[in-house]
Amino acid sequence: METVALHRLSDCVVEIPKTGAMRVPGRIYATADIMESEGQDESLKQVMNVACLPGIVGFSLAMPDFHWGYGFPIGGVAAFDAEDGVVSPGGVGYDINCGVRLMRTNLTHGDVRGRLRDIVRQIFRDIPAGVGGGGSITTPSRREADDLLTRGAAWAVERGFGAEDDLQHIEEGGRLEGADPGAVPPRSYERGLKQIGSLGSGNHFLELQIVDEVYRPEIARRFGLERETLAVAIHSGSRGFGHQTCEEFLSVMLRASRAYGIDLPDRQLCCAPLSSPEAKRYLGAMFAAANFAFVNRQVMKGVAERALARATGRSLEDLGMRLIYDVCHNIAKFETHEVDGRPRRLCLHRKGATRALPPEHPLIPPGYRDLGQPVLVPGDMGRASFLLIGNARASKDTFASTCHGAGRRRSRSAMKRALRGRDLYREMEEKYNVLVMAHSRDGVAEEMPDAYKDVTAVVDVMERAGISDKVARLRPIACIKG
Amino acid sequence: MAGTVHVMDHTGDVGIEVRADTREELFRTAAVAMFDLIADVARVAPAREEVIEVAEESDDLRLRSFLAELLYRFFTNGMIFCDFQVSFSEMRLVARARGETFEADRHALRTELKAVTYHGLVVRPDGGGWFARVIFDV
Repeated sequence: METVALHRLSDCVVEIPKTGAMRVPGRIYATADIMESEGQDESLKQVMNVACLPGIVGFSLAMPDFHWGYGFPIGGVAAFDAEDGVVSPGGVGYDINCGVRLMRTNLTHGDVRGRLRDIVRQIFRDIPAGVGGGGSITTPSRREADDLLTRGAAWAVERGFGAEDDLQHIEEGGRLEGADPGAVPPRSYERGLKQIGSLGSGNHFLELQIVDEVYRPEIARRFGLERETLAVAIHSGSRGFGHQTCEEFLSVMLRASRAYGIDLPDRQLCCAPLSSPEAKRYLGAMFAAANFAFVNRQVMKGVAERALARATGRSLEDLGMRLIYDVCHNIAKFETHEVDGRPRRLCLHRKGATRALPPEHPLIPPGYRDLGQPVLVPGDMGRASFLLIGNARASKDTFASTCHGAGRRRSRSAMKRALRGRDLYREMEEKYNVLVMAHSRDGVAEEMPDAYKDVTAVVDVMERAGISDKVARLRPIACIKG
Repeated sequence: MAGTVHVMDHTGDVGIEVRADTREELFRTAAVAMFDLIADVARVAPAREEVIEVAEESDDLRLRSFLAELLYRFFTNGMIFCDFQVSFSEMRLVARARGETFEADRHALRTELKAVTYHGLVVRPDGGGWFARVIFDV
């Protein structure tokens, strides 16, 4: 493959000039160090491929945690004009509305130190995880399913999972408007409906975390966090329900791309014009799957809250678990952002990227509106995760988007080969002070901290670029994996 | 003759490259390799048989759909397969897949594959034999 020409705009941003079939330039948020280790031809090529899609606006963006995906790069952001643009299932990914939520509690590290193993065992028992499998609630009937797919997290709150107040602290209020259960393929119901309230496998997790560094104490306090506060983070998505929805629509979109004469640099980028019936059906089904993910995370919050209360012998009131925020990081949806000084309605694809609204944005819950939107960036299971807030430049420069995680550095198979025969659970306890419980030892090997870039370097790029600011760092003390 | 499998180092996900003497062997080897990523196929008994039919216009799409169908059955019927007989007639592939009900402990669960992607998908004749590359979403 020919070498990709790069033009550095600042210490944090690199541009790939428009060449060939690219309709817009590419822009990568990365320092020279990150480019050196991560800027392989494959992932740069993927940024360029996305820039070729019809109706793309501004730039094909990559966040500093970008890496080689399939079709879109992981860490990719692409905005398409709401009238003339396209929607691409590959720009959302199989795990529709994979996302993260963070809850604060009244507990501190000292309250759980002596009985951490019992606490984690209780949560591990109560929240199903791992390959396939069922969920933590009775599988809903088809009629109930249509209701939950339309109404999202509110459906779970009505059934006693979490509190009414949680809803305003979820991106889009925990419900994407326009979900169409009728557009969801029957096979999605068959594969995924039973999995509500389950974590899944791969990089999904439930972590108990301790706030160990506060960068902006005033803001952290408003979120209910101080040093030593115990927090709970959940990373999961739409499970088999979303995976099958993406699978079924990729073949629809491959045919549509051909029918509408769209040249595809990679078949995984197949797409359809937003005005087409194929796009409308996909959006209806994808929004339904996104609402499924909101329900999934909301149910797990409720289950984790009860498990934590039981294991610590506290009432729910004493425990004081409150949702700080819930973000989507695999999604396409309609948002309005400033382009060339004017507001423009866009179909925004975030494939491994997080929305980061600036202060005073009307979509931020009233209690935080003056601060900016909370952004949750999980790191690896040994080092740290971050709570950020969206900054003023985000809506001008990145369609209000920032990074979503540490970004993988070493492949899953390389990790398994390197760690064969080692006691990884003990290593996690001795080296990182993290208690890990998992259903698959291989899963743990793939997710060991060495597999990831240092998340601190990633969030620092976005802070220096003026996109999102650090509020607090959270260190894991226990991690539940699939 | 059995085909050979190379597990690829794709940063975020996992892929396989398969070589075999015939197209039938290629498909069979790829299917075994996929389930060997999920669990230890050597521990799976060919106790039950299911018939799988796929109609697609090209070999690469046929292989992808075949694997996707097997994966779907794994997630819905809980079947893990270890042995395949594959035949082709024009656009259609017909496979007899043998396996048993999946049990995470007994079959030594390894990795959940969410999907079979179109990214980098290749099936082609190669030096008198056949070659395939498939990347899975993990």
